[in-house]
Amino acid sequence: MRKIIILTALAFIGYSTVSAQNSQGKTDDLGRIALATVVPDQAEGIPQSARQLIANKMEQIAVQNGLGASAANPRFCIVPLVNVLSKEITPTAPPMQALNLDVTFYIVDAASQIIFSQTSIQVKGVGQTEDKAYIQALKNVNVKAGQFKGFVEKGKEKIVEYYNSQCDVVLKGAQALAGQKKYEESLYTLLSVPDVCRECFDKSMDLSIEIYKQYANYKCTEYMAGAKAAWANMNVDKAAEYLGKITPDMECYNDAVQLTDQITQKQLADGANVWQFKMKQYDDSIEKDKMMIQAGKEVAVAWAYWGQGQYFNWDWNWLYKK
Amino acid sequence: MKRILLSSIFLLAALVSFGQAKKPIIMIVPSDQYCISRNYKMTFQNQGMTQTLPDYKTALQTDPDLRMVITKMGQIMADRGFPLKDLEQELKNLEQERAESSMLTSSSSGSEMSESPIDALKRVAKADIIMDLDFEIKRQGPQKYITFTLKGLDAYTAKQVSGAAGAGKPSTAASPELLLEEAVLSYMDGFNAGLQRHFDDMFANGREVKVQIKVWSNWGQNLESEFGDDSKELTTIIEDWFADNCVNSRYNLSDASENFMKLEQVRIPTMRTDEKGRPRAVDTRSFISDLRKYLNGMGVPSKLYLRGLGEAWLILGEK
Repeated sequence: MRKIIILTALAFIGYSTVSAQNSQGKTDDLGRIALATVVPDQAEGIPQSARQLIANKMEQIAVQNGLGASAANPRFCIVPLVNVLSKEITPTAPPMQALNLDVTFYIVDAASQIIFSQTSIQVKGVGQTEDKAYIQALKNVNVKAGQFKGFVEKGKEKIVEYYNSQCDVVLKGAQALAGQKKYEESLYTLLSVPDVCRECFDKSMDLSIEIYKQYANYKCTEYMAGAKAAWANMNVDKAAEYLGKITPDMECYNDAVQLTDQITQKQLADGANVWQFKMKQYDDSIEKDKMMIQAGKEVAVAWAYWGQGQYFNWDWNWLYKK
Repeated sequence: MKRILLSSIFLLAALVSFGQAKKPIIMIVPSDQYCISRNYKMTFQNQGMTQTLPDYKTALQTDPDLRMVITKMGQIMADRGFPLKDLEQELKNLEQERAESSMLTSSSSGSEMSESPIDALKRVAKADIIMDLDFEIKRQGPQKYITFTLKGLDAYTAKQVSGAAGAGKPSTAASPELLLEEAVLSYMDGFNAGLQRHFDDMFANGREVKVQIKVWSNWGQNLESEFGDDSKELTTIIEDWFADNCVNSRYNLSDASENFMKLEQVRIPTMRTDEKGRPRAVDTRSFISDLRKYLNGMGVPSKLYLRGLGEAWLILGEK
């Protein structure tokens, strides 16, 4: 009996110790959305000296209501818009400037240029210079105000809601683009789905592998044609350049290997130096799907970076100049 | 000399009689025209409008003639028992005060001093009577002469309470400094006599002040709403109160709507006796405070906002 009691006690202590190690709950989709704070150059009117202050205020709003994010590569951002409702300059000694500002904060998707949530607050500030008046006014933005909690929560809800409701449209659109051989744009659309919308993200990743395969095969045919044409002209270096772009995940890889062998044989027969070219090979330990998603991402980023997307615009003019 | 002595006696007599009453603060301020024409100015862009204002600090720091005239006038006024507030020193004090209040923190919690935008807006040089000064050294052939304008303005009623203007005698020998000193001496007596009349009038008929009654936008009632047992409009109730409490019932309701009342030439007593039988000086705040209590008794809460010794606003609806 005593043994049973001791064992039971030990088991209970053991359980409570294990469970006490990490009592923090897992964050759901909403909790995982990190909001970056950006004060774009296009946010005119905010003096340079007050920009950091408003950025700090927005960061506090983001952190107090969830996760903050680095502004280096932002996806979901909080951005400000400051309008001067009234400005008075007093004919006193010294003259004082009194500003009445309307500060609007937006939660936006910088990539797809969608506004998810907004809130505004009116603040007043007085100072001897306009900068001082701005700083005093922005100091009065109370980040603990209830409206900001609702603003962030609503923004995050809408982000998830948007991708959940638009998932089918996004996937169909990507397929349609792939059908038009616009593989890069199609991959960009799929890889733009944020990971916080788990279900849609998984679906788009699966589809992105499919589309990447189509893209790879399309490219493979292109490279093989180039390599054959170069070899026909006896331009070995050019042929090697094309063959070097063909990776093992492409369908025509075996044809490329055959062509490489053919060129090597011919070179040897002609008594030339040994051709150093070797086809790319993959390590079997690398998971093929992950590799393809990564390769797809690189294609999408390259497409976006070179500004081929007509709506791809990081300069924020879409928000500030309507 | 006789005139100077006489005016000094008058001013001293006024000061003795006003011994207990609240003294107005007097300050010499160079006129806008003087500052702007000499490029002591600041230009601001205000929502599509260019606004030019005098830069008093630069004027006082760089204009030796102005400094000389202000010093001479200040000396004469001080000799007659009415020391002036110095604008230059006041501007320095304000800068120092601004720096000190931004640095001051509580030793226990590190809390800053509470300051609303309106508090910041009030941190400017203030006077009840402004001596608006303008002068110019002119030439007529080899001779120099001074044109001199001095206006005594009530800061709240915007009334000119005294003034002196004219041109000094031309001279070839005297230096500009001497001419300026002479001008100050010859015009100060006339100016002081005007000031004296103002003080006499204030003593006999009460201090003339301005009162504005306004309404908070969220109140839900206005000055046309009816209150009291006999259901009178608030405008009428307030007017009746002024008629009962002003010296000789003197006041002028210059403009009004359902949202505001502008009462000018309101004559308030300079002295009164408090509940403990002590004589107390009266200013606009203490005068309007009685109206606030009266309206509060009728279920009309209000906020009393003071704009200085001579102007107050009573904003109805809440504190």
